[in-house]
Amino acid sequence: MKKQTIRTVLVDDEEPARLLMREYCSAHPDIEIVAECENGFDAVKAAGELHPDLLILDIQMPKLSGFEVLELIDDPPAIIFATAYNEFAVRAFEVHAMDYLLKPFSKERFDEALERARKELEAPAPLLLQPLKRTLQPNPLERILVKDGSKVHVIPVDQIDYIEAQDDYVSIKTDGKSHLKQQRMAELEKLLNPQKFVRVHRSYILNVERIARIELYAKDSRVAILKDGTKVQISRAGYDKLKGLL
Amino acid sequence: MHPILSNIRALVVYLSVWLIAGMLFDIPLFLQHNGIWLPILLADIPNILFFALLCLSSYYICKTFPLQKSTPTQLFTVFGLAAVIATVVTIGVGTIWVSFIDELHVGPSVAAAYAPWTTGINALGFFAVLMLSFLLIAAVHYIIIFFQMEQESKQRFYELNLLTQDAELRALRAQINPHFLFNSLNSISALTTANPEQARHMTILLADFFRKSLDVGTRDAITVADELSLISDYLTIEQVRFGKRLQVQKKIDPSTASCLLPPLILQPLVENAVRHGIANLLTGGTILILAQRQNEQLLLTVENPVDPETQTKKGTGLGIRNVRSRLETLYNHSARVDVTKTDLYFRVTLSIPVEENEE
Repeated sequence: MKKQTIRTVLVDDEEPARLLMREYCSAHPDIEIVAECENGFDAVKAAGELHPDLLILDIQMPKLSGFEVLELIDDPPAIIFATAYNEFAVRAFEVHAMDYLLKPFSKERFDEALERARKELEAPAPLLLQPLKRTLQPNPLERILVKDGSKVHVIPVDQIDYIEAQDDYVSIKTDGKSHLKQQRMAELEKLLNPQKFVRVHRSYILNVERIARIELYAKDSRVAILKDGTKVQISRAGYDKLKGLL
Repeated sequence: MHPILSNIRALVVYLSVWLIAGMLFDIPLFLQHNGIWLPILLADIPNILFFALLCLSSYYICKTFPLQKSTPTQLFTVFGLAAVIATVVTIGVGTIWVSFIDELHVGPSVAAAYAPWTTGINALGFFAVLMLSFLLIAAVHYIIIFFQMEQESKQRFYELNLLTQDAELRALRAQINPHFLFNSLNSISALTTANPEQARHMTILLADFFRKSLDVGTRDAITVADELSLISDYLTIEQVRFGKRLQVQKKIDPSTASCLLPPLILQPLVENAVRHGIANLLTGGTILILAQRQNEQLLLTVENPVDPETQTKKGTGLGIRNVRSRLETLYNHSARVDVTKTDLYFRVTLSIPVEENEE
């Protein structure tokens, strides 16, 4: 079989770290560096446009962590993490990273990681390459990432007023704006802090801190008036859950 | 808490001493009057105990009027009055009690036996003895309070020592932040081929930084200039990693350079500014370090821009809490830590009493 080049993207916010990886890669003619990114946003963009085979990824980066980058890539390539922190190793395994390099790493150790990725790419185990997106998020969720074309919105959960179900999407309402994200309500509900976010209705998850008051709407049904005046329907079961919390 | 009343053994000893002393006065009466011992004991024991307990109240007066903070006139008036009241009450209650015992007719009249002492010029002497006893007990209380305070200040001293050592240990451990070390070593590893000169420079900076940290960690206080030099090493190393993203602006009032501060009190704040501020910003920013003097207080400020979308991670508060508890143990209430946090920046200001290096 003819040897193919492995199209690789390097992601690290530190210039010397990228320099080192570039140098280590230069000894491997089959590794073609198609992009170097200094932050998560660039990495998401590069992955979307260039569809690389391999991502060598730092974890602690501004705005988007390495894990969040993975969450935002639709068709994730093979991943090698490179970080000074050993506490993320378990999560790295959960997303089926090829390898986990601890800085500072030797050239031999780096070559080993590349070899592992090479083998995996030659004989792909498709199931293994699919990151389990569900396990990516920390629990409870601190922020929600929404992709909007090539842009990424980072929404801290504290800023959310409420979330509305819309078919296969959820519409996240913050400060009069709404962001559409492809996710199921039940899945999102599980990830959010249950002390703060309550599924008050089949179609609504409510941030309890935004509630100004609750009014009777009809028999067995109530409506929450939010601090900005928005009204959100509450089902009977939802009201019971709210009462338990408040 | 009353030192004698709250301690049953002390109370027993105290009352026993009173009873023995009181009974000594009664020995001549036992010898003069036949069969008087029973009414005397019945009358005198409660009377002596009553006065003894009354004298204990002087502790609260001693507490309210500490020797160092009260004028002689105050002390004279307060204790004179208290002694007179205690004596009058004791004699009043005692007289009633004695007449009660006499009513029981268990022996010769106690009042009659006492008469030579409690009438005429002798009554004045009896009055004076009681007053002096009250004042004597007050003096004893002052002595007890003095020892109590001594004990407390000793205990405080030991506690402070322990806390300081603990803080030093923690500061040192935080100092050798493993991720800082690993990332720096990674940078050096990268530079060895690309820029050997800079790699060597960084190795030396790193060595300097750790040597200084270990050295100052063993001292009680270092100068602002020393702490800033340490911080400068630290920031230079971080600048190799972060490049243009990390900018530093310093405004150091020259008169602060020789001021003393506990070692490694400012450095953790600068490290926080890098880790939780600059490192979370795409384009980085400027860390501002200020040192100035204001009304005999040394003001040290570290300010950094923050990313409004990044939520503060765990660990941010820990560094500040350590700094706060260290300053509190060292300076009590004369040092302060002020934290200002907005969407755009994070600022910590330490306010420490000015203490200058004599050298």
